[in-house]
Order: sequence, then C-alpha cells, then structure tokens
Amino acid sequence: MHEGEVSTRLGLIGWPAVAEEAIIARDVLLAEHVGSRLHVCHVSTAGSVEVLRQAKTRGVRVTAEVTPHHLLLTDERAETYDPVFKVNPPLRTAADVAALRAALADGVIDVIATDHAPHAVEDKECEWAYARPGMLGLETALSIALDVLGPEWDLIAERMSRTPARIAGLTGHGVDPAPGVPANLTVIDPAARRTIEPTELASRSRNTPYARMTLPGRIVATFLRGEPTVLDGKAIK
Amino acid sequence: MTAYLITSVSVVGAAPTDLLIRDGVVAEVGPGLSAPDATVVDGAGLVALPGLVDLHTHLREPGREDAETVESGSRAAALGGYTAVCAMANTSPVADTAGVVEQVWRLGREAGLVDVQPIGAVTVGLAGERLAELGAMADSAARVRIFSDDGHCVADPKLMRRALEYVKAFDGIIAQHAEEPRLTEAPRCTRVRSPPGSA
Repeated sequence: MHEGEVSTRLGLIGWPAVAEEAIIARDVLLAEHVGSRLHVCHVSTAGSVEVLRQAKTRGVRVTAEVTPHHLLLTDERAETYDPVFKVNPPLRTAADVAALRAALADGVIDVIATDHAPHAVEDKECEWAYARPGMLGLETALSIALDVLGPEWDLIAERMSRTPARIAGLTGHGVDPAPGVPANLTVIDPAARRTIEPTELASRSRNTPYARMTLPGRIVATFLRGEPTVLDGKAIK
Repeated sequence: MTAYLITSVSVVGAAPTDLLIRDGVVAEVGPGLSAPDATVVDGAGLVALPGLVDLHTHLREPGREDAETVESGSRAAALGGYTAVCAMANTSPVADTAGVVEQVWRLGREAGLVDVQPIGAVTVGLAGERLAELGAMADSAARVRIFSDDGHCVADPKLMRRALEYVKAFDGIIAQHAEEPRLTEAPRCTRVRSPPGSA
C-alpha cells in the first residue's frame, strides 16, 4: 500500500510515491534524449503529475493514463484490511486523487485506462500480504468517469475513446458517430443508477472494489462495426 | 446484416438526433430518419459516444483462464461500453513472441465482441534482462505497436533506452509501469540471505 500516515497506523509496509515519480522522471529524460514515444501506465501521485506537466511543456513525446480507482478511492480503504483494495500502484491520498482529477481535466493525463486485473478467489480472499494486487475495471469504468467528471461528454469521449484510440493507432475506433465512419459506438443511459453486485459481472473474477456501491450510468447498447455486442444492457453472445 | 435506427439520441452531449447504422458504418445522422427495415432502439434520454478504448486490460489468457479469458474479458468490455481493448503481456507464457501475441489476437477475433489489440512484452519473460522480439511482434499478424512489462518496471535504464530506440523505427511506444523496485522491495529482515560466496 501507499507509504504514509495510514500505512504507519495499520502496520502495513508502504510503497513511497517517489518510487513511481523517480522512474517517470528518468523515463521522460530518456524519451527526450532518444526522441521516442513513452506512455506512462496508471499514474497515481500528485508528484508524478508535476513531472509529466514539466515534460509535456518541454515537448517530450509522453502520454499518461490514470485508472478509475485512482480517481475515486484512497489509501484509507486499506483500513478494512480487505485485499480487494490491494492494487499496484497502491491507492494514494485524497490530495493525490484531487491532483489526478485536475490533471485529467487539463490534459496532463491523456487517458482513463482501466488496468482491469481479474484475480481468482484464492489469490484475493486471503491475508493482505499474500493477495495479488489488482481490481476489475471494465464494467464500471464509465460509471466512475461519470461520477468523477459529471456529464462532461466531450471530455469523457476524449479521455476514454478518441485519445486512447489515437495512442494505440486503432483506426476506426475513437471516431465520433458521423456518416461514413465505422459504427463502433456505445449508448449510455446517464440517468440510470445501478448497484454493483460482483456475482452479476461478466468477468470470471469477482474482485471489484465497488461491490454494493450505487453508481451512475448504465451501458444500454454497444456496436462493433455495426453489429450489436450489447443490446438492452445485455451481451448478445 | 441488420440495420439499426437509434432514435432521439444525444451524440456526445449534443441535441437529440437519429442515428442509422447499416453495413457496418454510421449511414445517416439527422432528425426524423426513417428506415422500415431497421431495428429501432429508443435513444430518448440516452447519450451515444464513440466506443470506448482501453489501453490497459489484463485478459489472463493464456495461463490463468480460471480468472479471465479473452472471451469473458471481451464480454465484460462490451458491457462496459468498450469496442477495443489493449491486452497486457503478463500472461503465461508471457506475450514476448510473435506466436503468443498472434494467439491472443486470434482469440479476440474469434470472440468477436471487441477488437483485442495485444501489447507485447519489452523484455523476455518480463525479467528485465534482455529485449524481447519487438520487431517480430510488430511484424506479426497482431501488428503490435505498444510494448510493456506491466506488473514489472523496466528498471534498467540502459535497457529502457534501447527499447525506446528500437520501437522508434516503427513509431512504437513503450508503456512503462513506473516503480523503482529498490524503493518497493520487502524489508531485508523478512528475506533469507545467502551466505557469502554462494551462487
């Protein structure tokens, strides 16, 4: 978990923010030196945001992602000792969460990426020290984005579709619905609210940190090249 | 191929309109569309976005199919609004060869629920010691462009430099799991130390 006041109080070994920030600082310098593209996975600290901000200002070819859980949850969740909240990088402080949200809004962080990390029951329902790090994310990411950002649809499209498609070079994805474009799109009911039940998820694993939380938004339909993969909120196959 | 008419839907937050989907593309956008052969989806109060794209997904196949498969993860993705996911390389075996990334790519095609774009490992076995077959993975049917040892940091600065240089040739990207391992390693008191001189 995150090295800080909470880890000290709980007697758990903490991982300091600088372990992340030192590598990002080194790697933006390396990417700048060789003129290559660097992407930083799951940015989790306010200090990382500042390193990225400076690098982007200098024109380094760096992009960065943040996970839904790092936008919502803090290290205080570890007070339950429930390993469902054990994740790498660890949940950080409320100040980090605030910095990540601001960076997502101003573009220092380019993308929301899930780090969807399914784990079998025996790897998760055990002592904290022995549990595997990671959380499910695919089926809840849009709801967390809606909860954190509000109905800022253009920003959500930018951070969860257009920009990640561009970074990955996935042509045909991340393009707003318009005549002639591939019909890769999703339809959302923003007024719906749903309570997350781990056993109802399509993933083979159950390690969602949002169990029994009520979240905004529901996916009504998803189309892949014109064929529905989801209709009426249910998978087609 | 069935046509779909989504009525009165807000496209990325704009005023409600109709969307006609036919032959794999968005055929028409505008109010009051009519298509007698189309299946109608009532979009009143709903918002249409370009399909979500995830740069960081663990699908666990091959190796831990008890936790997730390409198919189950693809279904979870579609239900979450995704049309494409990038599958991380820390499978078993690790996706560090053309063979493994092509297997994941093919499983994604067979599931047919989202586009599964494999990510290749930066180093052989994620061990951080020597570069994996980056060029072969880039040239494979999976056309890998993003490489990551996610779950592990490419901690050796010389190896990270070489990886960044190598992928530049095909405009690839190194996606780094930023974690200095010396700063997160377990305290020494819990580790068994080898006696001096032992291998």
